[in-house]
Amino acid sequence: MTGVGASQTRQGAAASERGAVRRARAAGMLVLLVVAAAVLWPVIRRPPQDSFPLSTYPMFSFPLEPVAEMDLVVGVDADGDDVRLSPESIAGTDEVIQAGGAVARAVAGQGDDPGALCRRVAARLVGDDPVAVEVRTDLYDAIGWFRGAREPLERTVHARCEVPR
Amino acid sequence: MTARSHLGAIRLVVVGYALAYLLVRAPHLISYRDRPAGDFDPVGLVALVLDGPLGSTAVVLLVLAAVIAAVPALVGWRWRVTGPIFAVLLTWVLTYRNSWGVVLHTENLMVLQVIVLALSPAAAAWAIDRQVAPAIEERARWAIRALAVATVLTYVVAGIAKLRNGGWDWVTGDVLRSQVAHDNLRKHLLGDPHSPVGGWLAGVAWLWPPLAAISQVVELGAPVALISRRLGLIWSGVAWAFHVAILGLMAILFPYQLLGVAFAPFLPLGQWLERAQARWRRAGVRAQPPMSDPDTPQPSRMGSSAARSDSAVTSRP
Repeated sequence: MTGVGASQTRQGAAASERGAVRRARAAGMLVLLVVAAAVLWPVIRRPPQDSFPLSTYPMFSFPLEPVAEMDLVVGVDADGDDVRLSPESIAGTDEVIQAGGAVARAVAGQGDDPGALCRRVAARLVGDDPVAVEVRTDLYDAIGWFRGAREPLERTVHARCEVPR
Repeated sequence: MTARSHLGAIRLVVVGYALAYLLVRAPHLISYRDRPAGDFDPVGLVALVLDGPLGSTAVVLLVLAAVIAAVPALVGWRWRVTGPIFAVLLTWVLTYRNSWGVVLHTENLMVLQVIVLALSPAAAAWAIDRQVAPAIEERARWAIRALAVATVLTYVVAGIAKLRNGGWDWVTGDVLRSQVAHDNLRKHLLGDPHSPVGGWLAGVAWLWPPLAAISQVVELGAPVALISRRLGLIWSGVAWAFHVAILGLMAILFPYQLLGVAFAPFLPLGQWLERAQARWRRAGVRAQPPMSDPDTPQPSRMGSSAARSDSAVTSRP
């Protein structure tokens, strides 16, 4: 190959590379804009909607009353004392938020009714200490609880069932 | 450090974490095979495809498929195919898990980063099957920027949610304090580990407005991480400390963030890997490493070396 030919080949390669870099830059910017729009979309849309993996990340953002309304499933032992149950016992999950959600839905009349939830939890407790299970809504002073105010301000029992022996 | 080396290192860390996560959480993910159908409330991709829960076998097989698909993606084998397949399976499996009435928020960023990686040339380095393409450095640079943008915007969105739902009272009032007390109490009453420290500190009223303000600075101020490499590192450190505080005050574990994986776009991971590899070689290890240094020409295993310049790659027929 002559010197002129080699030079033309090099120039052609350089031009081709510049074109490829320009295209890569345009494509990269486009992907970046799409990613940014997608992540922001849940808060831009009306109404804002939490989903997965695109989320509004609403956790811990809402104002709460000092009194905490807690939908619970608890065990009751032979002396009538409460036995705290794990999320696994309550809803077959190790995620406390999902266990709490399952109880709240049952209390609100969505999904399983409180009686069905109660029996299902009791069935998981066969052979354990609790003799009964209660589905309740307890009201607590959330901040006061950690300062020793452990008694509920109010209690509503939605369902009670015996643990099969 | 080249951009492709950094991007390849991010692939290793992010996909490696995702694989470990799937393995550790496999029993939990498989547990969704026998949930009450009444609790099924599909979101995202799952809502587009399903009206009711999947059968038991399908749930188990999809979790298994996601684990298996992670392996070739991790090592960068046929990334253009295995990367997107893994991204789809991971998204599906974790969306399905979030389709039972409560959307959790600890896995979103991992899934987003895997999706962005799957669309990028993330196997142009630190891969057994390096897939080079024209203008690879430029493409890798933009992919890293997209990963960084996804990261910071998730924090911005979380900050916006607090102002939108709690107003300025979220910063100046008792919203955070009440949230910490409620969350710790709920965890205790539902039999989950909680933070007695956070619960006790909820009684210290003056503490919470400054903590709320710091939290908002970290979240809404996240875009500063995009300004320079140094600011990216500083913000990553602050955000990491923020998650440590969340763990301490609320017993909420964000493993992806606490292990630093979420901040991979801001860390010189490629450089660290290159140094580790150089040390390994100096130590006299002569065996061919399983992953090859992008800037060291290798005897051609796959017929390409990332050490070639972009022009060399471009001029290849």
